Amino acid sequence: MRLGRRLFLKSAAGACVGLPLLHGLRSFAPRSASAQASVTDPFAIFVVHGNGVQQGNGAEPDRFWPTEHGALGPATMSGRAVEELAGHSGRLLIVSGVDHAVQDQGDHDYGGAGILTAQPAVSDGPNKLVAGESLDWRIGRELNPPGREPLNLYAGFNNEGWIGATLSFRGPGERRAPQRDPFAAYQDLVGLVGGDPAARELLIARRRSVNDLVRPQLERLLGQPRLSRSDRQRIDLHLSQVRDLEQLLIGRLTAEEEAELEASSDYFNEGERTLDTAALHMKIAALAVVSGVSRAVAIQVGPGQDNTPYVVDGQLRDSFHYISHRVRSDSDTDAGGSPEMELLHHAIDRMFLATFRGLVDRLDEYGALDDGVALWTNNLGDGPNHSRRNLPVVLAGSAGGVLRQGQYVAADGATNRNLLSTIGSAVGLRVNGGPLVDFGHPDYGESGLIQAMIASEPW
Amino acid sequence: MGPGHAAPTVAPSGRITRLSHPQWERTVQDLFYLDEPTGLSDGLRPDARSGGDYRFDHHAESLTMDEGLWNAYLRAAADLADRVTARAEVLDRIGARADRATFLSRFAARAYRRPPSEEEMRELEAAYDRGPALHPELDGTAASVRHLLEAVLVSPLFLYRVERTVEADGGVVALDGWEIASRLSYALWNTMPDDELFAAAEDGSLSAEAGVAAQARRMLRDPRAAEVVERFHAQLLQWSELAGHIADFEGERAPVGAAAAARAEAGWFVREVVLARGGGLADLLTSPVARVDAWLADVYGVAPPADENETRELDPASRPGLLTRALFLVGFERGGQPDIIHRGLFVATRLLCQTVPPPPPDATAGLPPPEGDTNRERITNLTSAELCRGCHATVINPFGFVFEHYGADGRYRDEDDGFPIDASAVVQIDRQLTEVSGVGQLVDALIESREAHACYVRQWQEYLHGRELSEAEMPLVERFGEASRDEALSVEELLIALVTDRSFTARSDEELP
Repeated sequence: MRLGRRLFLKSAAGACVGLPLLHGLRSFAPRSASAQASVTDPFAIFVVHGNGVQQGNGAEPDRFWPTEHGALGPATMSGRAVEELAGHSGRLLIVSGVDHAVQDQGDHDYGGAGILTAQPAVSDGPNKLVAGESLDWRIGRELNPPGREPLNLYAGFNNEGWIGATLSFRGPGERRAPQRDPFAAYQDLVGLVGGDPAARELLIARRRSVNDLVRPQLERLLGQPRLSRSDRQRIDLHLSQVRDLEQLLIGRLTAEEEAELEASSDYFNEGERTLDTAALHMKIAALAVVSGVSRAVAIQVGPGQDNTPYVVDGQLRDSFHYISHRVRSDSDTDAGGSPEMELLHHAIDRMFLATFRGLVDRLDEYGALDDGVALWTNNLGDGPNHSRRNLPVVLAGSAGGVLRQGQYVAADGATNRNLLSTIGSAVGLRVNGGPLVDFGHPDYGESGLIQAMIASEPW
Repeated sequence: MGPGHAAPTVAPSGRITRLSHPQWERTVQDLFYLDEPTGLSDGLRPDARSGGDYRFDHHAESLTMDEGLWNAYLRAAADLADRVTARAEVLDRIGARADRATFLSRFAARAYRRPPSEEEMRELEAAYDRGPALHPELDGTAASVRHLLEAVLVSPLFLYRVERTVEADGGVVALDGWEIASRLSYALWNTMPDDELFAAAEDGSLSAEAGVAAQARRMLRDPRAAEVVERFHAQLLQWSELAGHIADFEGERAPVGAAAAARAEAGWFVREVVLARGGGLADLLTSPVARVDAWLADVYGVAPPADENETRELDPASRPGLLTRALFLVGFERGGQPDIIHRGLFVATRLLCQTVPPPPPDATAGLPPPEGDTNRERITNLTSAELCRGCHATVINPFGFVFEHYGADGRYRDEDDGFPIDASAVVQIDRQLTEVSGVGQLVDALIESREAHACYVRQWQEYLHGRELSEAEMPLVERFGEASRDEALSVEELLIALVTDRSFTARSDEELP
C-alpha cells in the first residue's frame, strides 16, 4: 500500500480543486489571426521505438511510408502504417531518407543511444554510452525554466540487464535514468495542487523547512577540500533540484485520468501493458509542455532491443525482436523471410502510430499542436536487417509555423544530425542568433538543416 | 600470504556515493529497527545502467540524483516519517521520547553514520523546533519528531556516504573509524553499520587491521552477509536474466514454477557452499550438493524428494558445481536447443574475465543457413564466416561445446537427435590452449588456472568498492588469486583479506577526475 499516493489523492480530491481541468477545455486565450506569439512556448516531444519498421528493403514491400512524396492525404496514406494518422494529415510532416549519422557502431546496442544524440559510442557492452548530450537535454538546458530538467519518460518492462533505457544523455557518457511510473511522473509535475490555502501553506512551509536543512548541507559538501570533479558535479546537480514547492501546472487531468494514472503503478513494469503506459506518458508530456514546465520531453517506448510480446488482434505474440528479424529464436536464421511476420510487424507499427495519435489528439485539444512538434521515430530503420538507414520520421505540429505541414518530403543524404538540428532550431535553439546547424558530432555526417522540412525561418 | 605486508594498492575513488535503492531500503529498515522492509524503494525510479562491463547494481559513478529521483526521495521521506511517527514502539526504539538533545545526537549519529558536528546539531534542533507549527495535527513532541525525521531522511548526509578525511601520508589517506565502519557495512551487509560496528568506530579498534578483521568475521555470520553473498553471485552470474528467460517458456519446455525453482536452487547452493561449508571458488565449481524439488530431481536424474525440497549429493562426475545446474543449463537455451554461444561467452567473460569484443556491425546479415545433424555442427556452421571465426572458433564456441552433454532441458544426454555427443574442445585458459572433454575436465582446468581465480577475486574487489578495478589493484588481485588457487582460500577468508587490505581501509591521495 502506497501511503504517499493515498495522501496525494486525499489532498487532491479532498480539496476543492483550485486548478482547472484541462482536458477538453480551452483554458487559453484564443490566438489572433496575425499573432506571432504562441500561447505555448515551442516544444519538442520525442517518441522513440526500437527494432525498426516494416518498410521496403529490397526483399519486402513497403507498408510504412506514404505511396508518393508530396501532399499527404488519404490517397497516399491508405494501406500504409502512417494511415493511423490520416485524420491529422494536414498537420504532419513525414521525412524519408534520414540515416543515422554514425553508421558503424552497432544496431540495438548503439541505435537507441545514437538517435537523439548523433554521437559515437564511448563504451562497449550491450547498451552503449555516447559522446555527447541528446537534443531533449540541449533544449531543456537552454530553454527550460532555470534548474528544470527536460522530462524523460519510459514505457515498458525493465530491461536494464540488457538494453533498457537508452535515449537521453546529459553529456558524454552520462545517460539519464527515465521516469517509468506514470503516476510518479504526474506527481512530480503536480507538486502543489489545489487545496485550501491553509493546507497549501503548510505544504509549502514544510518543504521550505526541509530545504533549510538540505541546502546548506549540500553547499558544505561542495566546499570540502579536494573534491573530485565527478563528486562535485553530482552534488551540484542535486543542489539544483532543491527548490520550494510550487505550482507547476496550469491545469490537471480529470479524476478518471488521475485514477488511471494511479492504477498504472501496478502495471507499468509489465511488457504487455507497454502501450497503455506509453499513452499515459503522452498525456503527461502534453500537460508538461502546455504548462511550460519543460520545452522537451523524451519518451522511450519499449526497451532499446524491444523483446516485448505485444498483443496483436487479441493474441499475445512472440518477442517483437524476433518478429522484427522474422525469426522464432536467436538461432533461427531461416533466411527465407516470412510474409506472416512482415504483416505482424506492420500491425505493430500501426499500433505504435495509433498510440502516438493519442498524443497528437491531446495536443490538438489543448490548442497547442501548432506551437511545437512531436516526433515519432525509431532507433533503427528497418526490421530484418536492422539497418541504420531511412529512419522512420513522422512529425506532427509546425513549431509555430517553422515546419512544413501536410507533406511527405525526401531528405536523401541527410542524417539525424540534420534532423535534430532542424527540430532544435524550430523550437528555439539558436547559435549566435542563427539556427542550430551542427548538433551532434562533427566527425559524423554533415552539418546543416533539412531545407525540405522548413516552411519559414524565424532566425 | 600477508595482506598487511604488501605495498598498499590503494586506488583513486569518489568520496560522495549515493545509496543504491536496495541499500536505501535496507538502511531505512535498520535505522528504525523494523522487522520488515518498508517497500518504499519501489517508488524510487530505477537507476540507468552505467554501461561498460561493471556488473553490479551499485556502480558509484552512476548513482546520480535528478529531479525525478529527488521528488521520489521527498515523497518516500514524508511517507516513512508518517509511518514511524504512528508507531510508538518504533519511536521508543530510536529514542524519540528522550529529551531533544539526547534524541537528536543519538539519532543523527546513526542516520549520518557518524557523530554530528555542532553546526549539524543546530540545524537539527531548528528543524525539530519547527515541527509543531508544521504539523498542527500532531501533539508537541510527535510533531517535532515527525518533521525531524522527514528532514533527516532527505539529508545528503543520509542519502550519500561521505568520506571527509583528506589528510594523506605517503599518498595514502587513512580513513577514520566511521568511514571504515560505513565501508564495511555497505560492502558486507548492503546497509548501515549496526550498534556494535558503531561502537568499534568510536573506540578506535577499526584503526587496526585486527579490529577490522574481527568485525568482518562477526559480520559474515549475520544473515545480511548471506544476502550479499547471494546478491554478488546473482549479479555476476546473470541469474535474473536466466530465470527471466526460463519463465518465458514455462508451461511449454519447462514446467510452471521452473524459473523460481532453478533460481532458488542456485541461491541455496551459493549460501550452502560459501557460508555453511566455508567453501571457495573451487567448491562453487565442483560441489555436487543440491537442493531439489520434484522437477530438479528429474533433471538431475535422482529420486524425487519426499518433501517439497530435499538436500542431495549429486554425482560429482556429471554434476560438478554451478555450471551443471538447471539455472545455467536451462537458462542458456535458445528455441529448445542448448545455447552453445552464450554458455561459452559466459565462461569466457564471467569466469575468466576474458574480453570478447561485440559482433561487428553487420555480422548477423547474410548468415549461412545452420546446417548440421547436431546442435554443435549447426552452431559451428552458423559462425563459420570469416567475420565470425576469429572469436567464435577460438574462444566462444569451444567453451560452449563442453556443455553439449546437457540438453536444453538440463538433463544429461549421450546423444543429440540420435548422433553421439561430442563435448571435446580446445579452450583458451591462462593464454594456453587446453584440450578438454566435458564439463568435469573444464572445471578441473578452471580451478587449476590463475585466470579463473584472479577473475573471481577481481569481481569481488569491484563489488566491494562499487567501481571498476584500477591498475593499482592488479597486484592485489593477483596475490589473492594465487592464494585462492594454491591455498584453497575460502570466500569468507577472501572477503576478510580484501576488507582488511589497505585498499579498503584507505583511499588514494589522488581523487577520481
